[in-house]
Amino acid sequence: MSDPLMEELRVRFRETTRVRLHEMHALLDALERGSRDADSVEKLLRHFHALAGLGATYGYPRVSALGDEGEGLFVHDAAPDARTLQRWRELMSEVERQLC
Amino acid sequence: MKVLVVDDEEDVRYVARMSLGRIGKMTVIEAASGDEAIALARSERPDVILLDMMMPGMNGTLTFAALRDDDETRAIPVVFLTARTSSDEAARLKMLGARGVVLKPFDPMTLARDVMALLES
Repeated sequence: MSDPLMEELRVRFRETTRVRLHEMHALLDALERGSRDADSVEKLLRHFHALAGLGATYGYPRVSALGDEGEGLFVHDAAPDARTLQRWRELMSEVERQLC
Repeated sequence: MKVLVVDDEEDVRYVARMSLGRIGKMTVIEAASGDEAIALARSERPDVILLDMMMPGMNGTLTFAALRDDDETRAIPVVFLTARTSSDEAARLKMLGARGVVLKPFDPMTLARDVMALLES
């Protein structure tokens, strides 16, 4: 982790992931308000997929695990239930803590 | 060596650019979609294409098929970037003509070496 490139990557990842989490929270807010549009669900899926694929590459392996869990909760062609929405929120909060 | 990195995620393209460029001393060009990748493959003639599997619109498999159907891009080696794959899926991609698979999350410190190893295999 002391490599200058890895340090540079970690700084960037913290910045871009904060922006990503902001959008994820907005999508989740809409879903919790009762919106069940497939587009929001698809966007949220892609964000969790990205976190899974990027975290460890940028030096945050725990973020990859959290993203993987979030992605695994998606059920194709089915609206997420309240329990799933709550778990996604918890996973996103944990990602935020990992970036501190 | 010129590498075309194809991924809809800017963060993936960024880390690949940094890794392949700074560590591997490769020239990196980027595409954010399958359509853009095909156009760049034709105009830039890269030595290898790193192709994401899961992209909106034209996904990696469809992009690969289009590259293989085109006389101008058919011979360019393609390495898939994918989050997860079974050994069966990796074998299937190789049977279709892919040079190999790099799993995400990948190690930026070894990506250039991993790509070179696949090209030399």
